[in-house]
Amino acid sequence: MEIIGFIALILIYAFFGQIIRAFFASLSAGWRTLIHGGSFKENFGTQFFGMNAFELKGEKIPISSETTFEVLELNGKGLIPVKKTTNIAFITSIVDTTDGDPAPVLAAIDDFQEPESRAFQHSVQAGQASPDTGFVNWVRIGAIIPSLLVPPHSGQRNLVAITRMIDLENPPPIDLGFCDSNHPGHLASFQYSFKENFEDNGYQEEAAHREEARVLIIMLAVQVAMADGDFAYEEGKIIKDWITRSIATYSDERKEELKKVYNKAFKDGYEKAQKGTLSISEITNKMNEIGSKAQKYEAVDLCFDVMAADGVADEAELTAIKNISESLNLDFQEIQIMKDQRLIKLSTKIESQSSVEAILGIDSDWSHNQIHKHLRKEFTKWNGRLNTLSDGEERENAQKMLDLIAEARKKYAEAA
Amino acid sequence: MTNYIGIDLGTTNSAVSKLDETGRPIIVHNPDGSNITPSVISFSSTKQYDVGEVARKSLGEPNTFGRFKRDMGGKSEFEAFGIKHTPESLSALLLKKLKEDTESTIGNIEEAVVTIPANFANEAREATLNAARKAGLNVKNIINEPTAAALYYAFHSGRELDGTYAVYDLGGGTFDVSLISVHGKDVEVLATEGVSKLGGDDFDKALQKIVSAKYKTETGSDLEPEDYNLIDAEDDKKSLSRREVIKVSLRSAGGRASFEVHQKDLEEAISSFIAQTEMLCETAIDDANLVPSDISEVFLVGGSSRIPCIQKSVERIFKREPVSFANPDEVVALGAALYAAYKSDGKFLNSIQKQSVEKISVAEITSKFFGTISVGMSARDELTRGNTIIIEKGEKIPCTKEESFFTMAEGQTGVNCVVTESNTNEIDPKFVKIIWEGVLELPADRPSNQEIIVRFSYDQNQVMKCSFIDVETDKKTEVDLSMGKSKESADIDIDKFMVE
Repeated sequence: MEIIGFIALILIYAFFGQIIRAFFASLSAGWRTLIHGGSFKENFGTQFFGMNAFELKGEKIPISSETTFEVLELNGKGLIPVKKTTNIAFITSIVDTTDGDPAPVLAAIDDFQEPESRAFQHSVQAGQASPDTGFVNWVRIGAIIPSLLVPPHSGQRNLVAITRMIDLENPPPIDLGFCDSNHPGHLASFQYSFKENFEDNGYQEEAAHREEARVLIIMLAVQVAMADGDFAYEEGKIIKDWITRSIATYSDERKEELKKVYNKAFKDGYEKAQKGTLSISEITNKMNEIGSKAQKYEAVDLCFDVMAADGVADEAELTAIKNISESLNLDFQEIQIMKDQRLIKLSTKIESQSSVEAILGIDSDWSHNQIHKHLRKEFTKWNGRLNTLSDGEERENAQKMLDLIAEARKKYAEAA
Repeated sequence: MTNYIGIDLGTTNSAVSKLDETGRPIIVHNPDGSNITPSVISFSSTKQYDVGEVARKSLGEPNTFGRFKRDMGGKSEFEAFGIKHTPESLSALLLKKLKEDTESTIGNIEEAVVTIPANFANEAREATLNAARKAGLNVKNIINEPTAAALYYAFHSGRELDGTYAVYDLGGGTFDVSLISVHGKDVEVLATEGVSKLGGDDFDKALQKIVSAKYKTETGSDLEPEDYNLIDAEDDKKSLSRREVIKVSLRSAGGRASFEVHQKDLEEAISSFIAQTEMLCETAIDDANLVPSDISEVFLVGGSSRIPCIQKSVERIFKREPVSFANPDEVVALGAALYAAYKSDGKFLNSIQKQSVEKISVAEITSKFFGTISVGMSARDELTRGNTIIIEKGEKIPCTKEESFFTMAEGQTGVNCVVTESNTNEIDPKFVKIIWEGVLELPADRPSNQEIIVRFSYDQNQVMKCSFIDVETDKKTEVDLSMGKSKESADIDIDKFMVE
């Protein structure tokens, strides 16, 4: 009887103890909900049952109501697994697991890259963390802008975000998204899987096609240089300098190989252009197959540099660039900006024999009304620029553009 | 007697106007008895100079300067006797002369309104205000030239205006076209376009070239510029506005020559300039979402609007014959006098003058795009700096517009705040003018993607308040930019600026 009474006493004591604990836990949870946010249920659970193990979740949200860009936020919650007070950070990398073995995923801009490579990396410093502490509510510990990612291949990709909790005093090396989990500075890692669709070529496709795409870029530039029937020394130098820059970062051995390939492309392109057998459409079709958007713009950028090399905006060169840009399906506005940036700098640019249509980007298929509207738009644009440019060559060139547009207006007024 | 005056500070000629006792604006004659004063200054020493008609006779000679308004706010320099003058300092000398001449005729000037071309950049507006202050004028407001002209037409055309009107202002150096809605005494600007360097001066130069070419054909020799200068060309241009053909007789290095110059010769030579004005008129009509048939009448302003082929061009674009009620050289000054009385405290207006301007209502629009520079994604999927427009050109004043931007970096501690001005919807920062720069400091240790609101408020006094606000902390960086209203008014003696 005594034993039964003793057990009953313990049970009663334990029952009321839990009620008292629950009472204080609910008070504390209410206070936390009020001050720190989160739901009462979550806060009560944490206070009454203790903190759960650390977990990671992802949530896509638009960057702003004005843009279509989304950010994938990585949020963490739970007990931080440290044995002593540690200055911690969360480093997020991404790997692509679509083809079996995980492959690195790169980022398009510096801010989201590893210090020594283009591999995606995002870090958040969390400060000092002590044992038995953690995040009661979801806290953002990483962010990914999917549109800035460059996977190995295009199409639908299975990606894994790996967020590593590291000791900032002894950070483990992370290379191309991979890290030795036995390193003492590696405290824990958490994963979040997601899928993304990529329209542009991946970096492995790009690498496979980079050499070929550069050969095509050289040929397009040669075609533009020869468009006026003459290959000027300055034009050749622009292409040569571009090739030199393109191979600068490779090893000596690879540099030699690439030099041969690109020089051959230069020479072949020149000979074909001389014979009139270099076809823009063939090159741009191939470029559309293998080239990335960046490579296509790089091609037009080089073509504009070639056009500007001799200080003259030649009609044939401008027409060739217009055809190339259209064939590569590039953004008209962006091409206009690239063109304007060159035209404003050309000291002797607009030759009287140059066609105003080529310089002003007038399409021969446009109606009379479309041409007038385009001319008005160009006129207000350059008239506005005249006010922002200080005296000198650029201002004079802006004035020349206005004169040219006025001449075009006269021409089309007379034709009406 | 104390007066409120309007000053048309023109490229070629300037004029001063005031309200008479009956509330009508009238031109104040200069001491020569002329309604207009040539905007020309001729230095005879470092401190001695002539202004107006006397100086005009020396145009083309060293130390004589005209047409400096075209470079207002720019870095051009005009050197005379070792002293470098700016367009602003020369304008100050001109305004000082206008002030003295006016005071000698009508007495004390309480306040003045100076006109400016509608498409003047902010720097040029500021330079005009500074010039007025240096001249010792109390200028609290400036007004766009086409708006001043519209005001005059609206009040003193002899009939009640009701509808949409175009003001075609082709002066000596600048061209402006404005579409204006006028209902009784309410004047609302709907759209404005213009070119800062297009006007009668260009036509004079074109005529000079025609005459030089004809002289060479006749004599086989080049015509010396001093034997047919810009003043000769201007006089002949005026004759050609009245006659189909004029006879020019010259003596130069190649001997004597006499030949005819036809109106058609000039028309052909200036056709490019006319094409430019036509494009701007069409743009203004488009900007206001109108078609030519919506426009009740076209008012001509500025001396160059007298040229027959200009009038034909206006008729071609607006599909109606333009009208010119008064002397087009004086309309802007007359409108400015009305505006000066309207904006004044009325202390020195009699009851009839007060009545004349009390129901005036002028609703202006912004004449530029105002924006800020931020980093964003281009069509090339690259992060680039771009100009984002906050207040569009043609926006009714007052207006408030805002855009949200977001920080890019974790722990970002500041945002560069930039206010830009442009004539077109420019996205390329290279082609915008930065009119103010500052910094908004942010608290450290915050994640990226913090919202920053950029808010521009353009008020009726032409002051634009630009605020860069961190939403989370409500911390702000703000600036008030004067876009056409004088910040201060003080008597400054221009002679202090003359170097000994």
